[in-house]
Amino acid sequence: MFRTGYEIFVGKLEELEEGKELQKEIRDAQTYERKTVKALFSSSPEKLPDGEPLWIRGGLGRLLDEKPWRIKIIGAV
Amino acid sequence: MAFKDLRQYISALEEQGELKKVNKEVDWNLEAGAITRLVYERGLPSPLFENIKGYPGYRILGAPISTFRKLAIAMGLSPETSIKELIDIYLQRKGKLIKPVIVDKSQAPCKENIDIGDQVDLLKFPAPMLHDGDGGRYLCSWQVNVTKDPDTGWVNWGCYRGMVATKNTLTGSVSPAKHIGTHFQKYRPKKLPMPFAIAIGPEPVSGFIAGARVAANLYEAELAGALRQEPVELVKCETIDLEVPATSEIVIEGEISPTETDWEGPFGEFVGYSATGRGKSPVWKVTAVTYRNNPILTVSNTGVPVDEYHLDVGLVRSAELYDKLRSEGIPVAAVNAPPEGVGFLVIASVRGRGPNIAERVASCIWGTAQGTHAPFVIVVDDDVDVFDIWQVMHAMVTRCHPYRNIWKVEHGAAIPFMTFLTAYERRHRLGAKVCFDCTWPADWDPTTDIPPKISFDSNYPKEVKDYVLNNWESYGFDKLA
Repeated sequence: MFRTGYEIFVGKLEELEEGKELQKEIRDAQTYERKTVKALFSSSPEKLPDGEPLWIRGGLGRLLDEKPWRIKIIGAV
Repeated sequence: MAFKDLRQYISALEEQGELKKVNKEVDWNLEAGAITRLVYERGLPSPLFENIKGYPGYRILGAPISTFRKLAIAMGLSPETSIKELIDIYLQRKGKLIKPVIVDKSQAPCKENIDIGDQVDLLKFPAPMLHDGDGGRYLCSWQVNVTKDPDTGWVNWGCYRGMVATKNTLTGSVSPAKHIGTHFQKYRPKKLPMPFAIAIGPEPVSGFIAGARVAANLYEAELAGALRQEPVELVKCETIDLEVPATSEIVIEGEISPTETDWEGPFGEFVGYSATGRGKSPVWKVTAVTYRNNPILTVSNTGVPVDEYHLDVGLVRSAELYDKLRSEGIPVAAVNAPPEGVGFLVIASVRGRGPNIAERVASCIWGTAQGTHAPFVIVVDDDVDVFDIWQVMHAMVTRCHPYRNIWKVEHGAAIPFMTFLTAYERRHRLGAKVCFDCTWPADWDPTTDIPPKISFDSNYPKEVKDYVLNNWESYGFDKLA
Protein backbone atom coordinates (compact mmCIF):
# COMPACT_ATOMS: atom_id res chain seq x y z
CA MET A 1 0.00 0.00 0.00
CA PHE A 2 2.77 2.42 0.84
CA ARG A 3 6.22 3.14 -0.50
CA THR A 4 9.24 1.30 0.86
CA GLY A 5 12.90 2.27 0.99
CA TYR A 6 14.01 5.85 1.46
CA GLU A 7 13.09 9.38 0.44
CA ILE A 8 15.26 12.42 -0.17
CA PHE A 9 14.51 16.12 -0.73
CA VAL A 10 16.63 17.87 -3.35
CA GLY A 11 16.61 21.24 -5.07
CA LYS A 12 17.33 19.67 -8.46
CA LEU A 13 17.82 16.12 -9.66
CA GLU A 14 21.34 17.03 -10.76
CA GLU A 15 22.35 17.20 -7.10
CA LEU A 16 22.42 13.40 -7.08
CA GLU A 17 25.47 12.65 -9.12
CA GLU A 18 25.25 9.00 -10.10
CA GLY A 19 28.00 6.59 -9.14
CA LYS A 20 29.67 9.04 -6.80
CA GLU A 21 29.81 8.75 -3.02
CA LEU A 22 27.75 11.61 -1.57
CA GLN A 23 26.78 12.68 1.92
CA LYS A 24 23.04 13.32 2.14
CA GLU A 25 20.16 13.45 4.59
CA ILE A 26 17.54 10.83 3.78
CA ARG A 27 14.45 9.54 5.54
CA ASP A 28 12.89 6.13 5.91
CA ALA A 29 9.89 6.00 3.56
CA GLN A 30 7.75 4.25 6.17
CA THR A 31 8.76 5.73 9.53
CA TYR A 32 10.04 9.10 8.23
CA GLU A 33 12.99 8.83 10.59
CA ARG A 34 15.77 11.03 9.26
CA LYS A 35 19.48 10.22 9.06
CA THR A 36 22.55 11.54 7.33
CA VAL A 37 24.46 8.95 5.34
CA LYS A 38 27.25 8.46 2.87
CA ALA A 39 25.79 6.62 -0.11
CA LEU A 40 25.88 5.83 -3.80
CA PHE A 41 22.93 6.83 -5.99
CA SER A 42 21.66 5.58 -9.32
CA SER A 43 18.63 6.21 -11.52
CA SER A 44 18.82 2.66 -12.81
CA PRO A 45 18.32 -0.50 -10.69
CA GLU A 46 20.74 -2.38 -12.97
CA LYS A 47 23.61 -0.06 -12.10
CA LEU A 48 23.09 -0.52 -8.36
CA PRO A 49 21.62 -4.03 -8.03
CA ASP A 50 22.18 -4.25 -4.28
CA GLY A 51 20.68 -0.82 -3.67
CA GLU A 52 17.34 0.02 -2.06
CA PRO A 53 14.52 2.15 -3.51
CA LEU A 54 14.98 5.91 -3.19
CA TRP A 55 12.14 8.31 -3.89
CA ILE A 56 13.25 11.79 -4.87
CA ARG A 57 11.23 14.84 -3.94
CA GLY A 58 11.63 18.50 -4.82
CA GLY A 59 11.38 21.29 -2.27
CA LEU A 60 7.58 21.44 -2.57
CA GLY A 61 7.25 17.72 -1.89
CA ARG A 62 6.51 16.67 -5.46
CA LEU A 63 8.13 13.45 -6.73
CA LEU A 64 10.70 14.47 -9.34
CA ASP A 65 10.76 11.01 -10.85
CA GLU A 66 7.74 8.71 -10.78
CA LYS A 67 10.06 5.70 -10.56
CA PRO A 68 12.33 5.20 -7.58
CA TRP A 69 16.06 5.55 -7.92
CA ARG A 70 18.44 3.29 -6.02
CA ILE A 71 20.56 4.11 -3.01
CA LYS A 72 23.35 2.04 -1.52
CA ILE A 73 24.16 3.23 1.96
CA ILE A 74 27.81 2.99 2.75
CA GLY A 75 27.58 4.25 6.30
CA ALA A 76 25.92 6.59 8.75
CA VAL A 77 27.46 9.99 9.42
CA MET B 1 -24.45 24.37 28.63
CA ALA B 2 -21.06 24.56 26.95
CA PHE B 3 -19.10 21.40 26.27
CA LYS B 4 -16.68 20.74 29.08
CA ASP B 5 -14.27 18.89 26.87
CA LEU B 6 -13.67 17.44 23.43
CA ARG B 7 -15.27 14.14 24.44
CA GLN B 8 -18.63 15.75 25.23
CA TYR B 9 -18.46 17.49 21.86
CA ILE B 10 -17.71 14.18 20.13
CA SER B 11 -20.80 12.66 21.77
CA ALA B 12 -22.92 15.58 20.53
CA LEU B 13 -21.54 15.16 17.01
CA GLU B 14 -22.45 11.49 17.14
CA GLU B 15 -25.98 12.27 18.32
CA GLN B 16 -26.41 14.66 15.40
CA GLY B 17 -25.08 12.14 12.86
CA GLU B 18 -21.93 14.21 12.35
CA LEU B 19 -19.42 11.62 13.61
CA LYS B 20 -18.25 8.27 12.27
CA LYS B 21 -16.40 5.91 14.61
CA VAL B 22 -13.80 3.98 12.60
CA ASN B 23 -12.92 0.67 14.26
CA LYS B 24 -11.02 -0.83 11.34
CA GLU B 25 -7.26 -0.53 11.73
CA VAL B 26 -6.04 2.65 10.03
CA ASP B 27 -2.44 3.60 9.34
CA TRP B 28 -1.19 6.99 10.57
CA ASN B 29 0.96 6.96 7.45
CA LEU B 30 -1.21 8.69 4.80
CA GLU B 31 -4.29 6.48 5.27
CA ALA B 32 -5.85 8.55 8.11
CA GLY B 33 -4.96 11.71 6.19
CA ALA B 34 -6.50 10.47 2.95
CA ILE B 35 -9.73 9.49 4.69
CA THR B 36 -9.95 12.84 6.46
CA ARG B 37 -9.28 14.75 3.25
CA LEU B 38 -12.14 12.98 1.50
CA VAL B 39 -14.38 13.77 4.47
CA TYR B 40 -13.76 17.50 3.87
CA GLU B 41 -14.26 17.29 0.14
CA ARG B 42 -17.56 15.40 0.47
CA GLY B 43 -18.87 17.19 3.60
CA LEU B 44 -19.03 13.94 5.58
CA PRO B 45 -19.18 13.23 9.33
CA SER B 46 -15.90 13.63 11.24
CA PRO B 47 -13.97 10.36 11.56
CA LEU B 48 -12.92 9.19 15.03
CA PHE B 49 -10.13 6.67 14.40
CA GLU B 50 -10.16 4.23 17.31
CA ASN B 51 -7.71 1.64 16.00
CA ILE B 52 -4.50 3.19 14.78
CA LYS B 53 -1.75 0.94 13.54
CA GLY B 54 1.00 0.66 16.15
CA TYR B 55 -0.81 2.91 18.64
CA PRO B 56 -3.19 0.90 20.80
CA GLY B 57 -5.16 3.10 23.20
CA TYR B 58 -4.65 6.26 21.17
CA ARG B 59 -7.27 7.89 18.96
CA ILE B 60 -7.44 10.54 16.25
CA LEU B 61 -10.37 12.86 15.59
CA GLY B 62 -10.16 14.05 11.99
CA ALA B 63 -11.92 17.14 10.63
CA PRO B 64 -13.07 18.29 14.10
CA ILE B 65 -15.02 21.36 12.88
CA SER B 66 -15.24 21.05 9.12
CA THR B 67 -18.71 22.44 8.39
CA PHE B 68 -20.88 25.28 9.65
CA ARG B 69 -23.19 22.59 11.06
CA LYS B 70 -20.40 21.25 13.30
CA LEU B 71 -19.38 24.81 14.21
CA ALA B 72 -22.95 25.58 15.30
CA ILE B 73 -22.98 22.41 17.42
CA ALA B 74 -19.64 23.44 18.98
CA MET B 75 -21.17 26.79 19.93
CA GLY B 76 -24.15 25.08 21.54
CA LEU B 77 -26.53 26.06 18.73
CA SER B 78 -28.82 24.18 16.41
CA PRO B 79 -26.93 22.56 13.53
CA GLU B 80 -29.37 24.35 11.23
CA THR B 81 -28.08 27.79 12.29
CA SER B 82 -27.18 29.71 9.13
CA ILE B 83 -23.86 31.48 8.60
CA LYS B 84 -25.73 34.81 8.69
CA GLU B 85 -27.10 33.92 12.12
CA LEU B 86 -23.71 32.65 13.29
CA ILE B 87 -22.16 36.02 12.42
CA ASP B 88 -24.81 37.90 14.38
CA ILE B 89 -24.41 35.55 17.35
CA TYR B 90 -20.61 35.86 17.20
CA LEU B 91 -20.77 39.66 17.37
CA GLN B 92 -23.43 39.61 20.05
CA ARG B 93 -21.49 37.19 22.28
CA LYS B 94 -18.16 38.85 21.59
CA GLY B 95 -19.55 42.00 23.18
CA LYS B 96 -19.34 40.31 26.56
CA LEU B 97 -15.93 38.69 27.03
CA ILE B 98 -15.66 36.11 29.81
CA LYS B 99 -12.39 35.71 31.67
CA PRO B 100 -11.04 32.16 32.07
CA VAL B 101 -10.74 30.54 35.48
CA ILE B 102 -7.71 28.68 36.82
CA VAL B 103 -8.38 25.24 38.24
CA ASP B 104 -6.20 23.10 40.43
CA LYS B 105 -4.04 20.46 38.82
CA SER B 106 -6.10 17.78 40.56
CA GLN B 107 -9.16 18.99 38.61
CA ALA B 108 -7.41 19.00 35.24
CA PRO B 109 -7.87 15.89 33.07
CA CYS B 110 -4.83 16.86 30.97
CA LYS B 111 -2.67 15.99 34.01
CA GLU B 112 -3.70 12.33 34.13
CA ASN B 113 -0.28 11.46 32.69
CA ILE B 114 2.84 13.60 33.01
CA ASP B 115 6.11 13.03 31.14
CA ILE B 116 8.93 15.40 32.00
CA GLY B 117 12.48 15.73 30.67
CA ASP B 118 13.90 12.43 29.45
CA GLN B 119 10.47 10.81 29.64
CA VAL B 120 9.27 12.96 26.74
CA ASP B 121 8.68 11.04 23.53
CA LEU B 122 6.56 12.82 20.94
CA LEU B 123 6.35 9.68 18.82
CA LYS B 124 4.37 8.09 21.63
CA PHE B 125 1.46 9.86 19.92
CA PRO B 126 0.12 8.87 16.47
CA ALA B 127 1.28 12.00 14.66
CA PRO B 128 0.01 11.41 11.15
CA MET B 129 1.77 11.75 7.82
CA LEU B 130 -1.06 13.83 6.43
CA HIS B 131 -0.18 14.54 2.79
CA ASP B 132 2.10 12.66 0.44
CA GLY B 133 5.23 14.80 0.23
CA ASP B 134 4.91 16.53 3.60
CA GLY B 135 8.20 17.22 5.32
CA GLY B 136 7.32 14.92 8.19
CA ARG B 137 4.70 13.83 10.68
CA TYR B 138 2.60 16.73 11.92
CA LEU B 139 1.55 16.39 15.54
CA CYS B 140 0.12 19.90 15.54
CA SER B 141 -2.50 20.75 12.95
CA TRP B 142 -5.48 21.86 15.08
CA GLN B 143 -4.72 23.03 18.58
CA VAL B 144 -4.13 26.03 20.81
CA ASN B 145 -0.59 27.45 20.74
CA VAL B 146 0.02 29.63 23.79
CA THR B 147 2.75 32.26 24.09
CA LYS B 148 3.17 35.42 26.14
CA ASP B 149 4.49 38.88 25.38
CA PRO B 150 7.37 39.31 27.86
CA ASP B 151 6.85 43.08 28.05
CA THR B 152 3.09 43.49 28.28
CA GLY B 153 1.98 40.11 29.56
CA TRP B 154 -0.44 39.72 26.62
CA VAL B 155 -1.10 36.02 26.16
CA ASN B 156 -1.86 34.92 22.62
CA TRP B 157 -3.64 31.83 21.42
CA GLY B 158 -2.89 30.76 17.88
CA CYS B 159 -2.90 27.66 15.72
CA TYR B 160 0.43 27.03 14.02
CA ARG B 161 1.54 23.85 12.33
CA GLY B 162 4.14 21.76 14.15
CA MET B 163 6.20 18.90 12.73
CA VAL B 164 7.90 16.21 14.80
CA ALA B 165 11.64 16.56 14.27
CA THR B 166 12.99 14.25 16.99
CA LYS B 167 11.54 12.51 20.02
CA ASN B 168 11.69 15.77 21.99
CA THR B 169 11.72 18.54 19.39
CA LEU B 170 9.25 20.03 16.95
CA THR B 171 9.86 22.47 14.14
CA GLY B 172 7.44 25.08 12.99
CA SER B 173 7.39 28.45 11.35
CA VAL B 174 7.27 31.46 13.67
CA SER B 175 6.34 34.09 11.10
CA PRO B 176 6.75 37.74 12.15
CA ALA B 177 3.37 38.36 10.46
CA LYS B 178 1.66 36.20 13.10
CA HIS B 179 1.06 37.12 16.71
CA ILE B 180 3.41 34.35 17.86
CA GLY B 181 6.08 35.98 15.70
CA THR B 182 5.42 39.33 17.37
CA HIS B 183 6.21 37.66 20.68
CA PHE B 184 9.23 35.79 19.35
CA GLN B 185 10.74 39.04 18.05
CA LYS B 186 11.06 40.11 21.66
CA TYR B 187 13.03 37.00 22.62
CA ARG B 188 15.17 36.16 19.61
CA PRO B 189 17.28 39.36 19.42
CA LYS B 190 18.21 38.85 23.07
CA LYS B 191 18.99 35.18 22.37
CA LEU B 192 16.37 34.14 24.91
CA PRO B 193 14.27 31.01 24.43
CA MET B 194 10.52 31.67 24.26
CA PRO B 195 8.26 29.50 26.43
CA PHE B 196 5.38 27.87 24.55
CA ALA B 197 2.53 25.51 25.29
CA ILE B 198 0.50 23.55 22.77
CA ALA B 199 -2.91 22.30 23.88
CA ILE B 200 -4.17 19.61 21.52
CA GLY B 201 -7.83 18.63 21.70
CA PRO B 202 -9.27 21.29 23.99
CA GLU B 203 -13.03 21.83 24.19
CA PRO B 204 -14.09 22.76 20.65
CA VAL B 205 -14.64 26.53 20.89
CA SER B 206 -11.11 27.07 22.21
CA GLY B 207 -9.75 25.00 19.35
CA PHE B 208 -11.80 26.95 16.85
CA ILE B 209 -11.04 30.42 18.13
CA ALA B 210 -7.28 29.80 18.42
CA GLY B 211 -7.11 29.59 14.64
CA ALA B 212 -9.02 32.80 14.04
CA ARG B 213 -7.31 36.08 13.36
CA VAL B 214 -8.56 38.54 15.94
CA ALA B 215 -7.11 41.80 17.22
CA ALA B 216 -3.69 41.80 18.84
CA ASN B 217 -3.81 42.13 22.62
CA LEU B 218 -7.15 40.32 22.77
CA TYR B 219 -6.83 37.19 24.89
CA GLU B 220 -8.58 34.49 22.90
CA ALA B 221 -9.39 32.59 26.09
CA GLU B 222 -11.79 35.42 26.97
CA LEU B 223 -13.30 35.34 23.48
CA ALA B 224 -13.70 31.56 23.71
CA GLY B 225 -15.45 32.08 27.04
CA ALA B 226 -17.78 34.60 25.44
CA LEU B 227 -18.63 32.33 22.52
CA ARG B 228 -19.29 29.29 24.71
CA GLN B 229 -20.94 31.52 27.34
CA GLU B 230 -18.97 29.94 30.14
CA PRO B 231 -15.42 30.58 31.30
CA VAL B 232 -12.72 28.37 29.88
CA GLU B 233 -11.00 26.36 32.61
CA LEU B 234 -7.24 26.72 32.52
CA VAL B 235 -4.47 24.96 34.43
CA LYS B 236 -0.85 25.90 34.95
CA CYS B 237 1.82 24.13 32.95
CA GLU B 238 4.41 21.92 34.62
CA THR B 239 7.67 23.45 33.40
CA ILE B 240 6.84 26.92 32.08
CA ASP B 241 4.82 29.95 33.20
CA LEU B 242 1.78 29.54 30.94
CA GLU B 243 -1.75 28.18 31.31
CA VAL B 244 -3.62 25.82 29.01
CA PRO B 245 -7.20 24.56 28.74
CA ALA B 246 -7.51 22.03 31.56
CA THR B 247 -9.50 19.45 29.62
CA SER B 248 -7.06 19.29 26.70
CA GLU B 249 -6.26 15.82 25.45
CA ILE B 250 -2.51 16.44 25.08
CA VAL B 251 -0.39 19.36 26.27
CA ILE B 252 3.14 19.97 25.01
CA GLU B 253 5.33 22.41 26.93
CA GLY B 254 8.73 23.81 26.10
CA GLU B 255 10.82 26.62 24.70
CA ILE B 256 11.44 27.84 21.17
CA SER B 257 15.16 28.17 20.58
CA PRO B 258 16.34 31.64 19.54
CA THR B 259 19.28 30.20 17.64
CA GLU B 260 18.73 26.60 16.58
CA THR B 261 16.83 25.67 13.43
CA ASP B 262 15.88 22.45 11.71
CA TRP B 263 14.11 21.43 8.51
CA GLU B 264 10.36 21.95 8.38
CA GLY B 265 7.86 21.51 5.59
CA PRO B 266 6.70 21.23 2.94
CA PHE B 267 3.12 20.88 4.09
CA GLY B 268 -0.22 20.80 2.29
CA GLU B 269 -1.76 24.11 3.30
CA PHE B 270 -5.08 25.96 3.48
CA VAL B 271 -4.67 27.46 0.01
CA GLY B 272 -5.12 23.99 -1.40
CA TYR B 273 -1.49 23.57 -2.38
CA SER B 274 1.82 22.61 -0.87
CA ALA B 275 2.93 26.16 -1.43
CA THR B 276 5.84 27.19 0.68
CA GLY B 277 8.40 24.44 0.41
CA ARG B 278 11.00 23.09 2.75
CA GLY B 279 12.96 25.45 4.92
CA LYS B 280 14.76 25.90 8.19
CA SER B 281 12.50 26.87 11.10
CA PRO B 282 13.14 27.41 14.80
CA VAL B 283 13.46 24.32 16.97
CA TRP B 284 10.75 23.90 19.59
CA LYS B 285 12.40 22.05 22.51
CA VAL B 286 9.88 20.06 24.52
CA THR B 287 10.33 19.97 28.27
CA ALA B 288 7.11 18.18 29.25
CA VAL B 289 4.08 16.43 27.80
CA THR B 290 0.90 15.86 29.80
CA TYR B 291 -2.08 13.94 28.49
CA ARG B 292 -5.38 12.29 29.27
CA ASN B 293 -5.81 8.55 29.44
CA ASN B 294 -6.53 7.18 25.95
CA PRO B 295 -5.85 10.60 24.44
CA ILE B 296 -7.49 11.86 21.27
CA LEU B 297 -5.26 13.69 18.81
CA THR B 298 -7.20 16.32 16.83
CA VAL B 299 -6.17 16.55 13.19
CA SER B 300 -7.02 19.15 10.58
CA ASN B 301 -5.90 18.00 7.16
CA THR B 302 -5.66 21.30 5.33
CA GLY B 303 -6.04 21.43 1.55
CA VAL B 304 -8.67 22.60 -0.91
CA PRO B 305 -11.69 24.12 0.87
CA VAL B 306 -13.51 23.57 3.13
CA ASP B 307 -11.59 22.70 6.28
CA GLU B 308 -11.16 24.25 9.73
CA TYR B 309 -9.08 27.20 8.53
CA HIS B 310 -11.70 28.17 5.98
CA LEU B 311 -14.49 27.89 8.55
CA ASP B 312 -12.55 30.21 10.86
CA VAL B 313 -12.27 32.73 8.05
CA GLY B 314 -15.90 32.24 7.06
CA LEU B 315 -17.21 33.16 10.47
CA VAL B 316 -14.67 35.30 12.29
CA ARG B 317 -13.31 37.32 9.37
CA SER B 318 -16.79 37.96 8.00
CA ALA B 319 -18.03 39.11 11.40
CA GLU B 320 -15.01 41.23 12.26
CA LEU B 321 -14.99 42.99 8.88
CA TYR B 322 -18.74 43.61 9.02
CA ASP B 323 -18.27 45.18 12.43
CA LYS B 324 -15.35 47.30 11.22
CA LEU B 325 -17.15 48.61 8.12
CA ARG B 326 -20.20 49.41 10.19
CA SER B 327 -18.11 51.29 12.75
CA GLU B 328 -16.53 53.34 9.96
CA GLY B 329 -19.95 54.60 8.89
CA ILE B 330 -20.03 52.64 5.65
CA PRO B 331 -23.62 51.60 4.80
CA VAL B 332 -22.70 47.91 4.80
CA ALA B 333 -25.50 45.37 4.66
CA ALA B 334 -23.53 42.12 4.95
CA VAL B 335 -20.01 40.72 4.63
CA ASN B 336 -18.93 37.26 3.61
CA ALA B 337 -15.37 35.96 3.50
CA PRO B 338 -16.50 32.70 1.92
CA PRO B 339 -14.64 29.54 2.94
CA GLU B 340 -14.07 28.79 -0.75
CA GLY B 341 -12.06 32.01 -0.98
CA VAL B 342 -9.38 30.59 1.38
CA GLY B 343 -9.19 33.93 3.16
CA PHE B 344 -8.16 35.83 0.04
CA LEU B 345 -11.67 36.97 -0.93
CA VAL B 346 -14.17 39.24 0.82
CA ILE B 347 -17.62 40.03 -0.54
CA ALA B 348 -19.52 42.98 0.90
CA SER B 349 -22.96 44.34 0.11
CA VAL B 350 -23.91 47.98 0.61
CA ARG B 351 -27.18 49.81 1.08
CA GLY B 352 -28.00 52.77 -1.12
CA ARG B 353 -25.74 54.20 -3.76
CA GLY B 354 -22.98 56.67 -3.32
CA PRO B 355 -19.90 57.80 -5.21
CA ASN B 356 -16.84 55.57 -4.79
CA ILE B 357 -18.63 53.32 -2.34
CA ALA B 358 -16.79 50.21 -3.54
CA GLU B 359 -13.40 51.91 -3.20
CA ARG B 360 -14.32 53.00 0.34
CA VAL B 361 -15.30 49.46 1.26
CA ALA B 362 -12.14 47.93 -0.23
CA SER B 363 -9.83 50.52 1.30
CA CYS B 364 -11.34 49.95 4.71
CA ILE B 365 -11.06 46.16 4.40
CA TRP B 366 -7.42 46.34 3.29
CA GLY B 367 -6.64 48.59 6.24
CA THR B 368 -7.61 45.99 8.82
CA ALA B 369 -5.69 43.05 10.24
CA GLN B 370 -8.44 40.72 9.02
CA GLY B 371 -8.51 42.11 5.49
CA THR B 372 -4.95 43.07 4.76
CA HIS B 373 -4.26 39.67 3.19
CA ALA B 374 -7.54 39.52 1.28
CA PRO B 375 -6.47 40.86 -2.12
CA PHE B 376 -9.82 40.19 -3.79
CA VAL B 377 -12.77 42.36 -2.75
CA ILE B 378 -16.17 42.21 -4.40
CA VAL B 379 -18.76 44.87 -3.60
CA VAL B 380 -22.40 44.32 -4.51
CA ASP B 381 -25.73 46.06 -3.90
CA ASP B 382 -27.81 44.81 -0.98
CA ASP B 383 -30.33 43.03 -3.21
CA VAL B 384 -27.56 40.46 -3.74
CA ASP B 385 -27.13 37.83 -1.02
CA VAL B 386 -23.39 37.77 -0.33
CA PHE B 387 -23.71 34.25 1.09
CA ASP B 388 -25.02 32.97 -2.24
CA ILE B 389 -22.01 32.71 -4.54
CA TRP B 390 -24.27 32.24 -7.58
CA GLN B 391 -25.99 35.56 -6.92
CA VAL B 392 -22.61 37.23 -6.50
CA MET B 393 -21.39 35.77 -9.77
CA HIS B 394 -24.57 36.98 -11.50
CA ALA B 395 -24.03 40.50 -10.15
CA MET B 396 -20.43 40.44 -11.28
CA VAL B 397 -21.18 39.61 -14.89
CA THR B 398 -24.19 41.95 -15.14
CA ARG B 399 -23.12 45.01 -13.12
CA CYS B 400 -19.33 45.12 -13.16
CA HIS B 401 -17.99 46.86 -16.26
CA PRO B 402 -14.99 44.77 -17.29
CA TYR B 403 -12.84 47.84 -17.78
CA ARG B 404 -14.26 50.70 -15.68
CA ASN B 405 -15.36 48.86 -12.56
CA ILE B 406 -12.30 46.75 -11.79
CA TRP B 407 -9.98 48.72 -9.54
CA LYS B 408 -6.50 47.28 -9.61
CA VAL B 409 -3.88 48.27 -7.05
CA GLU B 410 -0.33 47.41 -8.01
CA HIS B 411 1.08 47.06 -4.52
CA GLY B 412 -0.39 45.20 -1.56
CA ALA B 413 0.44 43.05 1.40
CA ALA B 414 1.27 39.45 0.62
CA ILE B 415 1.96 36.14 2.29
CA PRO B 416 4.04 33.29 0.90
CA PHE B 417 0.89 31.21 0.38
CA MET B 418 -0.36 33.49 -2.43
CA THR B 419 0.23 31.06 -5.26
CA PHE B 420 -0.69 33.57 -7.97
CA LEU B 421 2.47 35.54 -7.18
CA THR B 422 5.88 34.75 -8.63
CA ALA B 423 8.43 33.04 -6.42
CA TYR B 424 10.28 36.37 -6.09
CA GLU B 425 7.10 38.24 -5.11
CA ARG B 426 6.20 35.60 -2.54
CA ARG B 427 9.66 35.69 -1.02
CA HIS B 428 9.62 39.47 -0.71
CA ARG B 429 5.89 39.77 0.18
CA LEU B 430 5.11 41.85 -2.92
CA GLY B 431 1.38 41.55 -3.47
CA ALA B 432 -1.33 43.35 -5.41
CA LYS B 433 -5.04 43.97 -4.85
CA VAL B 434 -8.21 44.21 -6.86
CA CYS B 435 -11.74 45.41 -6.18
CA PHE B 436 -14.66 44.39 -8.37
CA ASP B 437 -17.32 47.06 -8.13
CA CYS B 438 -20.53 45.19 -8.85
CA THR B 439 -22.85 47.96 -7.71
CA TRP B 440 -24.97 49.98 -10.08
CA PRO B 441 -23.18 53.29 -10.81
CA ALA B 442 -24.34 56.10 -8.52
CA ASP B 443 -25.10 58.43 -11.41
CA TRP B 444 -27.37 56.02 -13.27
CA ASP B 445 -31.05 56.94 -13.27
CA PRO B 446 -32.80 54.19 -11.31
CA THR B 447 -35.91 54.43 -13.47
CA THR B 448 -34.34 54.43 -16.90
CA ASP B 449 -30.74 53.21 -16.64
CA ILE B 450 -31.00 50.38 -14.11
CA PRO B 451 -32.95 47.44 -15.49
CA PRO B 452 -35.53 45.74 -13.28
CA LYS B 453 -34.19 42.48 -11.86
CA ILE B 454 -36.07 39.34 -12.79
CA SER B 455 -36.08 36.80 -9.99
CA PHE B 456 -38.77 35.22 -7.85
CA ASP B 457 -38.01 37.52 -4.93
CA SER B 458 -37.62 40.79 -6.78
CA ASN B 459 -40.12 40.55 -9.60
CA TYR B 460 -43.42 39.10 -8.39
CA PRO B 461 -46.02 40.88 -6.24
CA LYS B 462 -46.01 39.81 -2.60
CA GLU B 463 -49.51 38.39 -2.92
CA VAL B 464 -48.44 36.15 -5.78
CA LYS B 465 -45.29 34.98 -3.99
CA ASP B 466 -47.19 34.20 -0.78
CA TYR B 467 -49.87 32.32 -2.70
CA VAL B 468 -47.32 30.26 -4.62
CA LEU B 469 -45.26 29.46 -1.54
CA ASN B 470 -48.33 28.52 0.50
CA ASN B 471 -49.48 26.17 -2.24
CA TRP B 472 -46.08 24.84 -3.22
CA GLU B 473 -46.61 21.24 -2.20
CA SER B 474 -50.03 21.17 -3.87
CA TYR B 475 -48.23 21.57 -7.19
CA GLY B 476 -46.59 18.21 -6.49
CA PHE B 477 -43.21 19.55 -5.33
CA ASP B 478 -41.42 18.59 -2.11
CA LYS B 479 -41.55 21.12 0.71
CA LEU B 480 -39.04 23.92 0.13
CA ALA B 481 -36.05 24.04 2.48
